[in-house]
This record gives sequence, structure tokens and C-alpha cells, in this order.
Amino acid sequence: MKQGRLIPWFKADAATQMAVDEALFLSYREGEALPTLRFYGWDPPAISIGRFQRFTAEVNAASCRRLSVDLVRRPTGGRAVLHEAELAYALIFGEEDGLGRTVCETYSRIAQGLLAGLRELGIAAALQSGRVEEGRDWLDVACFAAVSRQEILVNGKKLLGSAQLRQGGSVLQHGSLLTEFDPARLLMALGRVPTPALCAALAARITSCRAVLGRRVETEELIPPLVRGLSRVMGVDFVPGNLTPREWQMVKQLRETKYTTARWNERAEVKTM
Amino acid sequence: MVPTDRLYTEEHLWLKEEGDRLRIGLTEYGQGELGDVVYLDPPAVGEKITVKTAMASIESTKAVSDLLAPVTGEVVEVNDELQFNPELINQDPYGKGWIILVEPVRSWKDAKLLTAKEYAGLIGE
Repeated sequence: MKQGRLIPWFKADAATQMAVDEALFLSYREGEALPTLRFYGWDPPAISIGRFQRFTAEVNAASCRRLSVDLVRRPTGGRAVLHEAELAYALIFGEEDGLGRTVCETYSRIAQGLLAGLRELGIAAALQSGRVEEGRDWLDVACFAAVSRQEILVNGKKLLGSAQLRQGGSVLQHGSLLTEFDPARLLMALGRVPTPALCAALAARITSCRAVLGRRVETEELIPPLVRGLSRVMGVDFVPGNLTPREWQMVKQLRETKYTTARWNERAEVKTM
Repeated sequence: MVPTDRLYTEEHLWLKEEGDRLRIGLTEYGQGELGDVVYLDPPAVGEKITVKTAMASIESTKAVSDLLAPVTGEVVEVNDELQFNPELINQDPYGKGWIILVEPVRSWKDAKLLTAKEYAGLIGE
């Protein structure tokens, strides 16, 4: 079995976590790292937006400040995600690591690993593999409210969403597994009034581990089965290991020069999707 | 069917000679590998592109991928229609979904490009 690296779970602010994901991706792309898996948390909570989303149209910076929620732009695609009661993961790998080559193949193979882990936890989730016509109402701005292909659902409600960055055969896929879901909190963070109708509309599209299992689920309980599921599907033995000093140096640089800057986070020239 | 009136790269781009310029786009197979395109971040008109380095980013199915320049040259036109209808890359990759028009350096034919027959072989057609 091939060897991979499993970075221990830690919490940090949004800029640091995005810098870590990108540093691990760059390190792998440069041939200096094994396939790497990590799970992590956000402190303080944060809203992340997709690489090409328009900042002013998609998020409300004043609402985030009021709620002490960070804002960051991801290097990957997709839409706005509130990272609060969730488990985030990042998987960095190459086209030769047994997960297929195309965007859809890799999403699908990784989903099989995540689904196996969720099954072990007693969550009967399924992959949304068909084509989905996304609506155009504002709720779709929030990633979890828009179901697209290759996402993980329970009874038609989204539980886990993922996004990718791909360069020269190297892939970063990261995503968010909701442990709990509070529609009012998401609406407030996006600068909307949490009316009962809007809360109900979101609750009809989004679920969480707690809602499915009827109890609170801790991070420590979630990680081992998900690692086992991904390990099986990739044929990779993930051995605990830390970031190298060089990777930490890249994290520091990316955090300072990219993920904490308005130039990156608020770049206005991109259009909405 | 792979059109025979153009050249191809292993990264699934096509290049069509138009006088001394090259129109460039993604192949039918390439767009299928990416999935539904929702956004293209193209180079600017006047920008120099360098063979085998990123010339554009494309988002599909929540994945952001680089498109590598197939030749070295200068961008003389960008398909602005893709800013409003990026799905043209999926719907009409060899036609309305073209991405850029480039004035290549004289030595552009030195780049490793494939004939239609070679490209068809690569993708198993």
C-alpha cells in the first residue's frame, strides 16, 4: 500500500487554513510531499467564497464583522460556505493516485471514500451524480443551498460539499461536512433577515450529522472512519505527520501576502456566476 | 469526430491557423473531462503567453483548473461572449466556444502539437 500523510486536526483562522491547504498543494505539486489528508476547524467561524465569486454581491462584510465571522476567498471553485459547526477536510493528491483523472471521476471516487466513512457512522448518505439544473434564486449563493453534481446528500438534502483546485496533474480537494446546521445563523452571516420562510427554505435543502443521527457528533468520532474510507478507495495508508518547516514557511507567506489581503479576498473584477 | 482542419495538444486544446494567427479553444473531449463550465478567467488582449505555462483559469463543477498555453505568443483577441455564456465551451467547443486568438512567435510550430489523427488516437477515437 502506498503511503500518505495525515496531518493532525487543528483549529485556526480562515486565512491560515486556506494558506495551509495551498502550501500543501504547492508542496505536492513540486514533488516534495506525499498525498496528504487533513481535517480541520475554523476559529473564529468564517465564510469562504469561491475563487471567482464576486465579493460584494455574495457576502455582507458588515454582517460578518457584527457576528465575528471571518471572510476569506478560497483557491477552489464553488460558492459561499459558512464554516462553523462543521468538519473541514482537504485532500491533496495527483492524477496517478488512483482517484481517476477527470474532475467528475475524482469527485466521484473521493465521495465513495467519504460515503463509506459516513456509513460506518450510521449515516446513509448518497452521491448526487446526475445533472442538476441549479436555480437562480439568491439562496443558491450559499454553497450548501445549491446542489450540484458529485455532492453528498441525505434524503435529498446536502450534508457535505466539496471543491477543487487542479494544476498540472495535482489536485487539492477540500470540503465541508456539516455537524450541525442553523439556518438563521447562515442567513444572518450572509446579511439576510432570517424570516421563518427563508429558514424553512434552507432547512429543506440542507442537513447535518446532528439532524440525521439525532445527537451531537464530535470531531474525534468523525475523523477515523472518514480516514479509513478514503484510505481504502485510494489504496493509501495515511500515516500521521506534520507540515515540514518549508511548508510552514509557505503558510506564513501565503497567509500574509494572499489570504489576509483585500486584493485577494475582495477582488472585484470577477463577475458573478 | 475530431475536426481535421486544426492541430491539438495533449492537454485537449485545439489550434486553428487563420493567416498568421491561431484561434485556440478546448476540444470536445476536453470540455467533457471538465464538466459544466461556469466561469473563464482569460488572459487580456495584448498579454504575452508562454508555451506550457498557465494562460487562463477555468471553473467547472466547483473545480478551478489552469489552461496551459499551447504556444508562445501575444493574445490579440479574447472571446468576450464567454464572460456571459461560459457554457458555450461545453455546447460548441470547436465553434462559438473558442477562447482566444493569438499571434504566435515564428517558431510556434516547434511546440509539440498533434495532428487530428494523432489526437484522435490519444483520446481513443
